[in-house]
Amino acid sequence: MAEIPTLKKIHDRFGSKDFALLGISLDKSREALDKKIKEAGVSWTIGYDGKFWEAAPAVRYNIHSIPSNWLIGPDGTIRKRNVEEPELESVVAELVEGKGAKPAPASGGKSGQ
Amino acid sequence: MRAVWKIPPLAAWMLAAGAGPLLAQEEKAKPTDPAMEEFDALQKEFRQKMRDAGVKESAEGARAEAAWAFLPKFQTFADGHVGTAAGLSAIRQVLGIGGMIARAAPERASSAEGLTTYAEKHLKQAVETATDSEVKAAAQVALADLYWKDGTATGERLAMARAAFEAAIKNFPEAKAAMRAKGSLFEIDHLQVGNAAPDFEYPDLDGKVRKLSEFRGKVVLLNFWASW
Repeated sequence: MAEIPTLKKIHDRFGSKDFALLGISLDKSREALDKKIKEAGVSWTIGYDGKFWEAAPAVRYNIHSIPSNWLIGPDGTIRKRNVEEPELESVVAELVEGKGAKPAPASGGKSGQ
Repeated sequence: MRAVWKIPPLAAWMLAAGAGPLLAQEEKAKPTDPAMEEFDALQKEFRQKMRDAGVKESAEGARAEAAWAFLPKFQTFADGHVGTAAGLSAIRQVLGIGGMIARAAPERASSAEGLTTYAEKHLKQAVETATDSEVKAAAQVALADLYWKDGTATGERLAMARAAFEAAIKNFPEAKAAMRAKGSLFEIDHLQVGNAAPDFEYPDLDGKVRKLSEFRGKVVLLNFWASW
């Protein structure tokens, strides 16, 4: 899994004061998940209900492929969808450092991509 | 890293190169459907052609050329099976090949665009003429997906996608495809930039139930992943 080092870097860099990393695992096996967490040194919050693609948060967010990264602002609004790994760190930096900036109004389209 | 799909969407079908997508399997209402058997044989032939192309050239370009050459067979099949599960499967392959051509052979992009128009016409006919409600619903959702273009559609196309998803839910509430349509419609209306992030509950690793909204006041990177 190529993405974990990137997430780790982001988690280390932005800490927990103004930023949270929440990983929703679609694993079916708690054992496999625990093994990966230990091996890769995952230290951020992980949610896991063992329901594979039917995990409640994944169904709510209409997830049909992983990895899938979303950024949510301090005000609880969606700021970015489907952020790809190469731009993940810079996008987080922009949001954390520009904390409180208002998002563009919802357009009903897939704006901000 | 490479994306892992729950069900390959239309545009990603060719990446799975005919690896029997879930939806197509669901549409095989009758296992002894002779048209579906005929389609399976055609798909088998296609997969062999793709393997041959891959082995010889191990290049996306060669695979796209092979797919392009095979395309008329899927179109002929689709034309002969409008309004059936087999016809829908053929259309998905046509669209998948269109996506592949657009990526690997940009000089043929206008031809790939033509395939979208062709598929749209077929799907509209399928919605009208299919007698099996599951097939009718699947055709309606496939049409919506075509307009929605993996969630990248805007303006008029987005409005068309929304109307098509809504029609699928309204007209075929019991169909399996309606579930997918509901998820897509929710995404259009509630999962866009600027929308309030829908809250959810999740058990953490200690089994304690927590909520996304507990992070209010912080920037949250919500990452869906799996160890596999």
